[in-house]
Amino acid sequence: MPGALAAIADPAVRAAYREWLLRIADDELVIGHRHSEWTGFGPDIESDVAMSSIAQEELGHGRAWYEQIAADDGGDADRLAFGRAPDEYRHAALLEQENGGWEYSMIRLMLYEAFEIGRLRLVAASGHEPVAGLAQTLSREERYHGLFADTWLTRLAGAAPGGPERIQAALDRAWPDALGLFESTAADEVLQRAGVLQSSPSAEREAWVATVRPVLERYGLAVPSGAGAREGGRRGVHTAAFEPLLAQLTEVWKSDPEARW
Amino acid sequence: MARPRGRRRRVIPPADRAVTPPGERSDPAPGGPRRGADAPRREPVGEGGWQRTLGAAPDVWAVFVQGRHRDAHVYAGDVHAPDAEMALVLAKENYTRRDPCVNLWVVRADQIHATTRPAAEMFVPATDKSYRFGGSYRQQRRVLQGSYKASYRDEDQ
Repeated sequence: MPGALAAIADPAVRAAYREWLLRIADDELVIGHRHSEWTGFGPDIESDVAMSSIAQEELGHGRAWYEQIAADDGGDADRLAFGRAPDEYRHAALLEQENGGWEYSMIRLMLYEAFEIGRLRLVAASGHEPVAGLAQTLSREERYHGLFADTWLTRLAGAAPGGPERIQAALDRAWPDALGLFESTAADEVLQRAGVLQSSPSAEREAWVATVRPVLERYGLAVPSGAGAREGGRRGVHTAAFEPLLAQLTEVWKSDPEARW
Repeated sequence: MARPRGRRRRVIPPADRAVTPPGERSDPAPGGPRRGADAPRREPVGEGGWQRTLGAAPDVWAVFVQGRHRDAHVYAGDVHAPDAEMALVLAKENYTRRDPCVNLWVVRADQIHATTRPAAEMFVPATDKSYRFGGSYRQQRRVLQGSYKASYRDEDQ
């Protein structure tokens, strides 16, 4: 089945859309891997199973997006996921950071899911099939991911002693990286001009802040002010956390890239 | 996915959360086994009595899964959770990942009243009660299945 890119005649727009879809796929792959690191280490067996399931779903979403891109490249999704140099990945810094404590993973999950639901809405509204339909389908699972994070954070916020302080520290750590989710490149402008995207990264960021602020305040947290966005991820510039992650993530595939699994 | 390395990470437990040893989580009966930290608060009503509560720890929730609309909710297992909302959130990923589910119930296991094992005798019929089975009435079966299929179709739309 041809992906969504084949229907776009203008090569500049097609290249921009490929870039944009790659961001989604890379975000999901990298966060899925980080979530999976909780397997066997969750705070209780039930949350361990739930987090592992969330990790599988994010990896599954990543795979679905890679397949869309690969359909037009004539390549395969595995090569796209595992066979690139670090600076060819387009995920934001937020997703590659090490987990640290459970409270950081929950804050990151909450901030990312709020972003992801907005982004999927944008793709669904683009009208480009089959990705518009795919975005709608995947949203169903993202809803639970957000609910899981919210349920945990609500309880961590009420945990004494030290709970609120720890999630505030986690939020302070995550916030500049989270703003980096909205880093824009030339691709964003091209896609807006072509009418593929109905919104700009800055408008999306504003809508996201309006969504997460009241939630964070309900947890009793202060939204960090004055902290700028940590950008670079969307251009392939990553933090020191990424290369070790990629090495571990691609270890098996790289042992024999031609193998058929 | 590779296994993470290093020591088990420290996390903040939710307030008042009872810590239950992992080994005590595999009992198929609601409320899990009753040893150590999970010891019963209320003893069975009398020795050889016919009913009792399950004596589960207060953070144990029994999970009931409904596979399709109009199916009965079926007991699937337990989760440990500080409250009902968390119990539902955890039950979703622990008991509905594979089989279909349209609805979940959670109930505190220590609120479940049960008959005792020795009382099982009172369920065993003493005389032939085959007249209570409608299975041989072919017409009845046809009508029941027909209406079931019709209602199922309705829900699919």
